[in-house]
This record gives sequence, structure tokens and C-alpha cells, in this order.
Amino acid sequence: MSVNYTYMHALNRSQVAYYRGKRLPGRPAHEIYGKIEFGRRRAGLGIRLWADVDYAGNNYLDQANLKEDVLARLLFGAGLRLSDPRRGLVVTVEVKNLLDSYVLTDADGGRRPLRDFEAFPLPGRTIMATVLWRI
Amino acid sequence: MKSSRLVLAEAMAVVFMVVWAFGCGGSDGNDVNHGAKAALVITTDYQTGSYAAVGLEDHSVVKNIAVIHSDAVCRYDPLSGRPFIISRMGADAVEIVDPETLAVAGEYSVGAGSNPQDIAPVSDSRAYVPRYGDKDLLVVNPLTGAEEDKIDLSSYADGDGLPEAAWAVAHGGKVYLTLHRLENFMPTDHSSILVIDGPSGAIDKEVELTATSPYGKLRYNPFIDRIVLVEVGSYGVLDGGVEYFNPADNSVSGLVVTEETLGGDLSDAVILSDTKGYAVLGVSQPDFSVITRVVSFNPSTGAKIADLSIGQGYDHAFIELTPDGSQLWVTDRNSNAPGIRIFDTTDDHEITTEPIDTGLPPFMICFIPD
Repeated sequence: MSVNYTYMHALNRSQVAYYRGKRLPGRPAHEIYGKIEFGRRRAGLGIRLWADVDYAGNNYLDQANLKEDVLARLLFGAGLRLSDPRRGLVVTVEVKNLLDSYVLTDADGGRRPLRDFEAFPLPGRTIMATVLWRI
Repeated sequence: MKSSRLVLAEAMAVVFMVVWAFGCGGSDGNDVNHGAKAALVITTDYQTGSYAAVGLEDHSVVKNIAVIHSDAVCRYDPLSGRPFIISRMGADAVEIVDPETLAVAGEYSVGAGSNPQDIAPVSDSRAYVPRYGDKDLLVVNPLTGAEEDKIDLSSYADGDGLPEAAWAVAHGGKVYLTLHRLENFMPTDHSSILVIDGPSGAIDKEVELTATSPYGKLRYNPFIDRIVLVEVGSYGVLDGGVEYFNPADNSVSGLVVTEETLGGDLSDAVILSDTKGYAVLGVSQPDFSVITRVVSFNPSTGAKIADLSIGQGYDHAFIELTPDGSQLWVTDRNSNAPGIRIFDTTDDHEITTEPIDTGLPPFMICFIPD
């Protein structure tokens, strides 16, 4: 299991009157990432299962801190990896944004896209599969 | 979607306007509000746009009433008594501002990528919206945005097929529309002003301007009964000037003051009287930087009178006279202490001791008359 937490008190300290003291855009104060992973090896085959959680606090999109916040988001993920070292084969299936959240509701009931940057909405549930074969 | 912070700002704006209205309601005839009940100030850092309200008498401010597009201008419509905000390239929309609360009361698109420049309402159901990125002059219901008509302006275009329709102002049943006629943002052989019949949309006449690229805001000036054209020509070349359009006979005056005399590229100008006007200039420096100046000039003689303010960079954007002409409001966008500066037009001394803070730097001012 691994967990990391980041706290940033990122303020604009320039002399520009309308920016000074404002939060830096794109820098949430709180970020947490946690992952729990299980692994087993039997008959030369390996299996790993994991689940993760990714949290980023709300933050601004502009230096003036006037535009809508990027709302705090909480994403869950999960994965499975099967490996056969004798054959050099690894198969990984990973799901990001497991709960398929792509719209968040703000304090006023407004619906906003899940995003880290303006005009770049984050994808909903995403399933990725990788096959690695070492010849 | 509005954040709670923005809703709070709008609520404060309402309170401000109510308090302001009560505060001025007891006026016993002293003209302390200079013919307006508030100034709507468009603010921007070119990344984020907003607008503020400034009281005419006590200069109290409500900042950041709402977030708007970072490239926006305002136009007060005397027919409906409403200010409009025109959100230009990238937003391509018009916002209707409630004149009492100054909150955004409505918004409509005027075509993705169309780059609207202005709005000229001629009735409560018909307004002209010039768009830089479209050959058609759009006619809409100003309060709903419903399309009423489109007027093909391609026959007035330059080689790129677009006439670059820009500022428009309604006066006396006509709409006066400037056509920049640019290619790659450079002037072509001429720019012009179209005279359009407001109710029908029929184009009465095209009049070529003396110089090109009328960048400054188009205004009908009641003091001289003329429409004032601020023609910049090519940037970095002192080939422009201010001229008048006479709506009585659809003629232009020729340049009443030139960029060469004033010493910089014109970006805006207002006229107080036959003998007094003010202009904003971009002045090239030996190190190729540009500073802006606000100057006074005499339109009758074409002579510069004095510098009112000298910025350190592109500090000055648009200027505006109060409706009674007693004050000149100047946008000062310097980064250390931006705000509105006010000058007394009787002797041009500055009334404000420090810029009136509008939150983000001010860009344009629209007075909301009584």
C-alpha cells in the first residue's frame, strides 16, 4: 500500500496589484494519491490486483482567481496484471475513473465538467489493456 | 455556471445600486451625478474578463460583478436604457445587462467564430451586430438574440472577402457602421462608413474615410452633432487622425487632428466641444516599445494642447466623457495600481488622487445615463 499527500500554499507574490496574494492557477492546495495492491505467484504465474484513489482539491483556472474553480475531484481506479515470465508475457487491464464521473455539481447546483484545465475535460471511465510479449 | 462567490458579487451589486439610488434620490437639483447614474467598467487582464460599477458621485465601486469574456466591449443603448456587453472573438456572444442591478440578465450567441464587435439597437426588436469574421451584418432582436435578418456586405469587402464590419452606432433612425477593410490586420486601400436605414436595413450610402482603420469607438457626439471617427491607419505610421461624420449630409470632414501632430497612433478619442478633444495615443519609443498617452487637442486648429497622462506601456485603453461633459474618465491599466482616473474638463486637472480600483484593469467605460 502506498499513500502520498501534497499540500501547496501557492500564492502569487508579484507586484501586480490584481494578482498579488491570489492562488496560483492549476495548483490545488491538497492532493492525495493512494494505492493498495495485492500480488500472488503460483505455478510460475503472477497475478496482481490493485485499486487506487486520486484526489485533487479545487483550484482556479486564472491568475486573477475570478474564473470558476476547478472543483475538487475524487477518482477511483483499479487494475489487474497477469504475468507468465517463462513465456515473457504480461497482460494488464486497467480501469481509470471507475465510477465514470465526468460532471461535477458545484455549490449552486450547477453542473461542470470534470477537468484540470479550462477547455480540457477529463475523460469518463477509461479501460486500457496492454499485452507485453518479450520474444 | 455561477460560483457562490459570483452570486455574492451580484448580490452586492444589487445592494450597491439600491443604496446608490437612494443616496442620489434626494438630490435637490444639484448636478452631482454628471448626467449618469453609474459607470459600467469593462475590466480585463486579457486572460480573464469582468466588469465593475463605479458611482458617479462618491466613486464607490462594486468590483467583479460577473466574469465575462476577456475580450469584451460595452455599448449603452439609449432606446431601451440597457447596457450591452459584446463578447468578441472566442465567445461570440452578446450579454444584456440589467440597468438597475447591473447583473447579466441574458446572453445569446451571434455565431461561433463570428467575432462580434458592437451592437446598435434601433428598436426593442431590432439591433445590428457587426461581426469581424463574417461578411453578413447580423440583425437580431436585442433582447432575445433571435435572428431577424442578415445583410450581405461582401460587395463592400476587400480582397479577403470580408469588410471587417466593426463599430456601429444608431442615431436618428439610421445606423452608422464602420468597415475597416483589412487584410491580415493591415489596412487596404480605404476604410468606410455605411449609412443604413434602421427599420429596413437598406444601405443608403457608403462613404470613404480620409484615413483607414477606424479603431476607436464610434460615438455620436451631441456637443457637436457629429459622429466621431478615430482612424489609426497603419500601426507605427503616423497616417491617421480624427474626423467627423455629419449625419445631416452624410459627409466626412477630413481629419480635424492628425496622428502626426499628436505624435502617436490613435486608439481612441472623444470630443468635448469645437475647441477641445481628448485622445489616447500609442507612442513608439526608441527601444521599439510603445507607451500610451492621453492628450488634449483643439479640433478647430488641429493642434495638440497638452499631455494629461503618460503611461509606461499600454496603460491607457479607452476613455469616456461623462454625459454632461464635465469629466473625462481615463482607463489606467498599469499593473501596480490600475483603475479609473478622472479629469475635470474645465481645466484638465486630475480629480482623483489615485486610480479608482476596479479589480482587474479597466478597459472600457459605459455610462448609464439618468
